[in-house]
Amino acid sequence: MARSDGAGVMNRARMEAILAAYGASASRWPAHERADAQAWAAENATDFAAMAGEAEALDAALAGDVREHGDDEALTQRILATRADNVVAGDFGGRRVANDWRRPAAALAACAVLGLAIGFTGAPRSDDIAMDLDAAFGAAFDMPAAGFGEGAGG
Amino acid sequence: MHDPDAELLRRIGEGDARAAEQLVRLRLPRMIAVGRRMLSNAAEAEDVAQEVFLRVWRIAPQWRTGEAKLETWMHRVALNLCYDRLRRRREVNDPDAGLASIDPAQSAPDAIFAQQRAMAVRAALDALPERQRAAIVLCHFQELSNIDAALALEISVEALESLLSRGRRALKAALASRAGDLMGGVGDGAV
Repeated sequence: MARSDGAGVMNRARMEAILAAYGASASRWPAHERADAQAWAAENATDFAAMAGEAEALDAALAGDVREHGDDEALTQRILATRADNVVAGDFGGRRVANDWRRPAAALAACAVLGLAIGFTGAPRSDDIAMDLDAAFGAAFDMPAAGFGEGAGG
Repeated sequence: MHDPDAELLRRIGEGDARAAEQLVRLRLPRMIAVGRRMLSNAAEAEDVAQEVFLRVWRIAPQWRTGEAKLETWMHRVALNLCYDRLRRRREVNDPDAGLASIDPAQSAPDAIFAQQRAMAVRAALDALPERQRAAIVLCHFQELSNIDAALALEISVEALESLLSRGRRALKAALASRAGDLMGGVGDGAV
């Protein structure tokens, strides 16, 4: 099906758009258009050569940006060391939720403080208690975000 | 949709340490590469890569096969972590953050030329708006398909193409003005 921008119909305009976006290397062209684009380039070799010149030059310049990095072994070992104590069911890549005894402990402490406060100040209305408990547990248990569409996290 | 990492992830979810090691060895260099090109800082790129794998460990038991490729998801997480760091840099207004440095160990003319060329490309990439840079990193350097790159960026393929076109046009202009002789005539209006 043809798109509004011409994708789906291989012609000069679409070829120019592909070169402008993906560069001159066919391996980077959209898979579903690659064969048609290559056929168009072969049939219109002179035009294509003229059209692809700038894209090829930019591709060549970008190829000069080689970023060597050192030995990844130490980092690999550090990452593997994190695996054992960071697997928590239900976290889909959202905020960090570690296997940490401090959070349940904080929840219990918050409940104890709330109980003492109630004891000293008299019993509040039931909806006030519910709100306070929500706040206490919310602070103690960071519930993770869910799914592929997670936010930035961090 | 075939996900080459799905089986490894399933085993990781079951607690298979060897599968975890396989995945790290397979994907770590690519995660570091994303971070390096987005942040131009090796240490920060390693931090980002480590955080991506931390999230893989957590998600493994719950992964829903068929919704997305793991590597696409990892790229999305890496990009989001990079955006966070770039935002923090702007907040602290660190003018030196992300500046690449020339390796003094390389001194031969060819090496100097290669480094000048690489520096010009890095400077031009660093100057791009984040989303354009991310699109070029994903499609050009990481060689993700346009569909996977669009998924990682949470945009349509049409929007991705727009980002790519604008990004490449800006790169061409920047490289032509910064280092015309390094570019071999880019920007001379050959098309």
